[in-house]
Amino acid sequence: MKRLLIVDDALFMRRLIAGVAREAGWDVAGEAGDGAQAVAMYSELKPDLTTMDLVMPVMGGLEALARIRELDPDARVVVITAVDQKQSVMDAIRLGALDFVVKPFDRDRVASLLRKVAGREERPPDA
Amino acid sequence: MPNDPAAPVVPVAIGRWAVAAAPAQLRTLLGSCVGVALHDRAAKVGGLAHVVLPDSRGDVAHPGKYADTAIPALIADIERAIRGKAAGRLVAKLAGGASMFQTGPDPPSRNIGRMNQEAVEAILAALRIPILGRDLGGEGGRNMILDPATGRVWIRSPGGDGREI
Amino acid sequence: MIELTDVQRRMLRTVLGLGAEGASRALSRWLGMDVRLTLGEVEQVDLEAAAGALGPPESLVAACAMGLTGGLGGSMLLCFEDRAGLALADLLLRQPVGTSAEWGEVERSAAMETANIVGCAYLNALAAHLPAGADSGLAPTPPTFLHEFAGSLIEFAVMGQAAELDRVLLAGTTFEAAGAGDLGWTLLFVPDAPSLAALAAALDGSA
Repeated sequence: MKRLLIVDDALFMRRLIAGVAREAGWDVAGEAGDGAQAVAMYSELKPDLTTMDLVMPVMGGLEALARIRELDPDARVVVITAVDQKQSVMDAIRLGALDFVVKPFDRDRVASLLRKVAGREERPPDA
Repeated sequence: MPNDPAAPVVPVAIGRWAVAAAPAQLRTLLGSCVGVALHDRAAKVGGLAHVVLPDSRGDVAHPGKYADTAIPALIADIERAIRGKAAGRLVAKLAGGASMFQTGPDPPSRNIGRMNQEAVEAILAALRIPILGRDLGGEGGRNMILDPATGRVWIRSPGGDGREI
Repeated sequence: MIELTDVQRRMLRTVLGLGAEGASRALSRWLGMDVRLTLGEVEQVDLEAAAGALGPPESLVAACAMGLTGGLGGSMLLCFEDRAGLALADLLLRQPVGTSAEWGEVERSAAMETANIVGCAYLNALAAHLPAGADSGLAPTPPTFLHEFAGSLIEFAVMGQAAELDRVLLAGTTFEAAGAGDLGWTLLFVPDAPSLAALAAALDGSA
């Protein structure tokens, strides 16, 4: 089963994302409330996917994203944030985010994203 | 808390001051501003100023806003009320000067509270008005009440606990 | 800058109005029901008038307070009396209004995330209407949950303007739900003085 790390400073949002993930057949391996925790937990858990909020205390999501991708260039991270501005989208993609989801999100959007990532895994690598 | 819930309460708004005689009470709500309570025990007259900034720098349009203009204006009104000079008769109590909840790297009001406190203390010292009580600093708002009948000042926090200074 | 010009005031009001519309859409999706945000007057008022923006200064309010980053300074505050705030938590938890009796961790978190979503929606609209480069990713800071006297809360928020201006600007937004009327929440947008000046200049093209 695919393992997810959820990063968001709001307990309420982490539960929301966890609900969608479980329904889509994912296992929630861990939850982090700030960017520093996220980086630490990423190393420990090596999840198949990380969801990353941007606005967080201690360390924000863009910095955490950069550090995780530095630790693991194959890290798969999806940004989930209420900040919907060109600058932020560009920064996130440039730093290696797989996708950028705007809150409040459609459950289906996140569910199909999770299924796609899981599906991608199971495809045999290109010869 | 305040002795008589039925006593008329004179509210003092931000950047203003007011004088009242017993049995009326004076009240103001403080954040980073400093509430300056002055009391004339013999006359049972009190004044309360809600000071926003330390230094008027010559601005004459808003005397209540600045410590250096509000305190003399407050004293002048007390003298009108007691029909005499206030020198040697007044004592002070201070409250407020809090910093805002942290919402950014360096909120300006974090310093303003402290600056207001220092300005007020300096002005009162220069006027030789003793400060008998203080409830300053911290991060929360204050509901400050002065009772001119007794000179007592009560402070209430948003959490509900009250104290006398 | 002492006073906004008429043009600047109208531009700011227009852009904040667009923010309110965006926030209405976001909040409606968030709550699963039609909510409309209505922007009040956007003008500079004297300190005493500002102090009453949330009702009697001695009344107690709950607030989710956020700072501004990314080129703007100041704060945004989502405010409500306890009952109205707990009702928000109930809506999000999809339970009957009145179920939440006190501010537990989940209730606070639900309110704070709502503040984040609404605050971001406003800033998204501002960013879309500022000249390119005038912002570097406008975002709120993570919210803080607090209880405070209405007058004290506003005093803290306007200090960023009061040092330089005699009349301060707070943009207030109220919330209505289809069929339920006024929800009893208020969103205050209170830029600091440099940001107010920068916004005014950027919006009327004089930047």
